[in-house]
Order: sequence, then C-alpha cells, then structure tokens
Amino acid sequence: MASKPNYARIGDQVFRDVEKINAELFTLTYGAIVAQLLKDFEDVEEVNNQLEKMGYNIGLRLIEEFLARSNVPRCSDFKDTAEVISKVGFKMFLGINATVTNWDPKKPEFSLVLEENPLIDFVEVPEQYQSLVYSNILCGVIRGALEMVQMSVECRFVRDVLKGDDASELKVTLKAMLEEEVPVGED
Amino acid sequence: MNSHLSVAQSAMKNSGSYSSLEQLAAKASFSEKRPQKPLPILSRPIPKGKSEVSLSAFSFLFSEFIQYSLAKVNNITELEKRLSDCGYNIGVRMLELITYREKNYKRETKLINMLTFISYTVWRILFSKQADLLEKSTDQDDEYMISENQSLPITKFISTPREYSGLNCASFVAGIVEGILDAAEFGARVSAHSMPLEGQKQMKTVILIKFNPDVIARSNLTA
Amino acid sequence: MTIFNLFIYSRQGNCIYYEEWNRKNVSSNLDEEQKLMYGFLWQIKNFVQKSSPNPELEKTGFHFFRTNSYKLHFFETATNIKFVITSDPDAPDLRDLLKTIYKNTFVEYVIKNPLYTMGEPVRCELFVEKLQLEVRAHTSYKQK
Repeated sequence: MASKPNYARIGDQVFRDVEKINAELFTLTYGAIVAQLLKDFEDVEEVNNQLEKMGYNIGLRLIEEFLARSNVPRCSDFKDTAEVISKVGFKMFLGINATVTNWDPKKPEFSLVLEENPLIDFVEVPEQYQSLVYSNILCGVIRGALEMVQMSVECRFVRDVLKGDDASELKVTLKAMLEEEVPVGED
Repeated sequence: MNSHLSVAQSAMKNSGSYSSLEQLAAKASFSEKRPQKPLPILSRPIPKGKSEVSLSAFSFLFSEFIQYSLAKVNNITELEKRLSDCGYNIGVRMLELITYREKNYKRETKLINMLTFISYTVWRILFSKQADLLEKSTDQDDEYMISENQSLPITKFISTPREYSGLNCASFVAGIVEGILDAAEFGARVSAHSMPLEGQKQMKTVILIKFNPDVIARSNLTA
Repeated sequence: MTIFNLFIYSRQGNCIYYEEWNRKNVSSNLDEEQKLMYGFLWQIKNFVQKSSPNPELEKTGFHFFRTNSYKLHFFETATNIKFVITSDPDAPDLRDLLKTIYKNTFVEYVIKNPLYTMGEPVRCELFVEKLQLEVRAHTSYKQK
C-alpha cells in the first residue's frame, strides 16, 4: 500500500511557488465586498446566503487550479479529503494552516479549525450585524470545490473569532457521493 | 505640520459598516457559551503587513465580485463605476495603512511627490513592483498618467469578449488611486484605459488622473 | 512529428474547445465528429476499467492509443474535464503537454476569467493566444 503523501510539505511547496499578492489588499477587497452586499441586501441572513453562494461559484473554479497545481492523487476516503483541504488547500491559497479535528466516521464529518484568517484582519462586526457570518464565503468555497469532485457536502461555521471564540471552526459533513454524468445516448 | 490621524481613528471615521467603538455584546447565536467578548478592535495591534496570500485567491475573489456586479448592472459604465467605488474604499484605507507604516505619519503636500508616492510606494506594496511609467500629459495641464506595459497582475487573466468590449477591470485600481488621492486632499477623477503599446500588438494599461482645478491652483501657488 | 488537433470537453460532455493544425482531411461535420469522440472516450473509459486484470489497484485510466497514421492522447482531470490531442504516431507521450495546457493555459485564462461562464464554449482571446504559443513551442509540433 502506498504511503500517504506528506500533505503539509506539498502545501508549503505549492505556496512557495505560486505568485503572491499583499494579504491586506485581499483583506480590504473582501471587506469592501461584504460592505457592498450589506448595502445591496437589507437582511443580514440574505447576505450570509449571498456570501455562501459567491463562495460556491469560486469553489467551482478554484478546484481546477488546486488540482492543476497541487497534483495530489485522488483522495482515498473522506478523512483523506479533510487532510488535503486543511494542509494543501488552505495553505496554497491563503497561506494559513488549518487543523482537522472532531473526525466522526459515522456521519461522516470533520471540523476545520483556523487559528488565523486573512479575511478578518482589521475587522470588527458591529452590534446591528451580530448574526452576520463574516467569513461565510469559505463555506461556499469548500462546498463548490468538493461538488466538482463528486462529493456533496454541507459546510457551516460553528465557532467564529469575530463573535468572541478563540478560534474559527468550520464543520464539514458529507451528504452524498455524486455519480459522474452519463452522456445522452449511452447506457 | 499636520500629522495624519491614527489608522484606527481614521478607520472609525471612514468605515460605514464594519468598525465600531461600542461594546460588542456577544450574543450566543450558535455556540453554547461565549467565554469572553471579542477584543475590541482598537486594542488589537496593527499587523506588520508582510503577510501574503496567493494571487489566485485574490483573482478568484475579484472575478466573483465582477460576476456578481455584472448581474446587478445594466451597462458597462455602471459596472466600471461599481468596481471603481469598491476600489475607492480600499484606497482610503490603504493610504492610512501605508502612511502609518512607511512614512511615519508624514503627509505629502507636493503634487509630484504624491504621484511618486503612488507609482512607487503604493504600487510596490500592491503589485510588488513600481509602475512602469509616470508621465504628465503634454496637452492637458491637469492630467497625469501612470502606465503599465502589460496588464496589471490582477487583471491579466481577463480577456474581454466582444459583448463587453470597452470594459476595463482596471477601473478597480483606478478607484484605489482615486481613494488615495481624495483622502490625501488631492481630489481627482481617475479612470483606467487600455491602449496598444507603441508599435506592438500588446495592450498597456493606463491609469489616467485628472486633478480638480483647485488642486492644480494650489500646486501652482506652492511651486 | 506534428500535432493535428485538440479537443476539450466539459463535465457535461460538450466540446467546449476545438483547434486544429496541419489537418489534411477537412471534417464534413465537426459537431458530429466531436460527439462521436466523446462517446468513444466514455466507452473506452468504462471498458478499460472493467477489463483491468488487477481490479484491486487504484482506478485505471485510459492514456492513449496508436494507429498507423496517428496517435491519440487523453487526459481527464478529477473534475471530469477531458483533454484530447492527436499527433502523428511517432510522437512521445503527450499527456504531459495536456497537463501543462490545463495548468498554465486553461486554468489561468479560462477558469480565472470572470467573463467566461463554466460549461460554455471557450472564446477567451488570451487563452487561444497562449495555447497557440504553447503548442507551437512543443517539440512534437512542426508546420507541414
């Protein structure tokens, strides 16, 4: 049986090789986008949905770059997927380390804990927007990306630094494995 | 000499929706117990600004914002305005950050120094390189141009199809420049244009800055 | 040594990009040909998987076939985007070229382009330009 590749090393290497940009431009751009959404939609819950949807659209495309650059082989199981997302995915795009915790094989689901998050630098959520899930775009990205590799998941924040917790935590649950689309006319 | 407001104070002044001095009541929404309220933003140290993310992450985010905006507008001009407005807010904040970090609160008062600040320092921070060319327009007294011989790093993936011809996504960068100039009291109208490079097929991006009359008048007085 | 044509198929099975160089016989019905190609790829993928002598190993994929007059190379991403390139029979394995096209050209100038909708035919100018540069620069390409 082939030994599992060292995902952390792959993640570091890919991040080292990719072109990079000032993180603060990224942070400020995201902030401006959230501000724009709050202006476009009255309801905070609707903004949360929009952020997730935008993340989903990003995820559909991001997965291609991920596969092309990281060259990781197909994941053997959902737990493997968790490791790849945390060590390679988050590292190569955001330059941060994420940890996999609370692995539950029955559902199956896992949690991703983020100690740092470039989206939320300088950010404080005022009282009237308390139910805003500021980084909800990340949930959408994971959902979109995994759907393109035949996994239907549900992803949501269960802990949020902007709400007072010591770290941010996303819970990812596998709902179903998707079948590859059969072309019209074939069996 | 006037010194800049501190970053945090200015952030409070300028932002609409995402900074507040008021107490953040940690209402339990999805966690059973909230041990403490989040540290208020003014108590947090300002990061060093050396961290980076992949250009792809930014490109995807920017790309999605463009697609989202496309659905909300009726024509190219409106889309460019949205991008420019988005950039404007960023520019205002960037000026505070960069001035605090790089120049120890010193404020530019001369027009040409301000332009050099943008094409050298700001460009270096945003795009890891200085602008290819900064020049004054030969026929207009109030116009200056910052040019990039190739498309900017954040727009190089975008090739506009025929139905969107005339769209320039560098309007976002134009917005950033406009925000910076406005916040530094050098009001101007800034726009982005694509022109073919002399004698070549390649397009260069030009950020055109047209200063307000009072800025030019002031500049001529102090020259 | 030369390269004849390139097909790119979306997940849904539509041919989203087609390009040809040095092709001798002009196709009478390009649409039909592209559909036929896709059907064939689907069938052979299934066949290769089912008739594997060692089914416990990881999923087997089809790489290329070779005839007297041409060689067909195939590469499929984990997201089911398929790249097909045909070359003359003496060309080496061009899967690496397909992977490079995917990584350096397709992802950069198609996927990252906000003005391109996923699944639609590819019409991005920059992509076509860079693709031409990449293919023509490859050692297996020679203008006949």
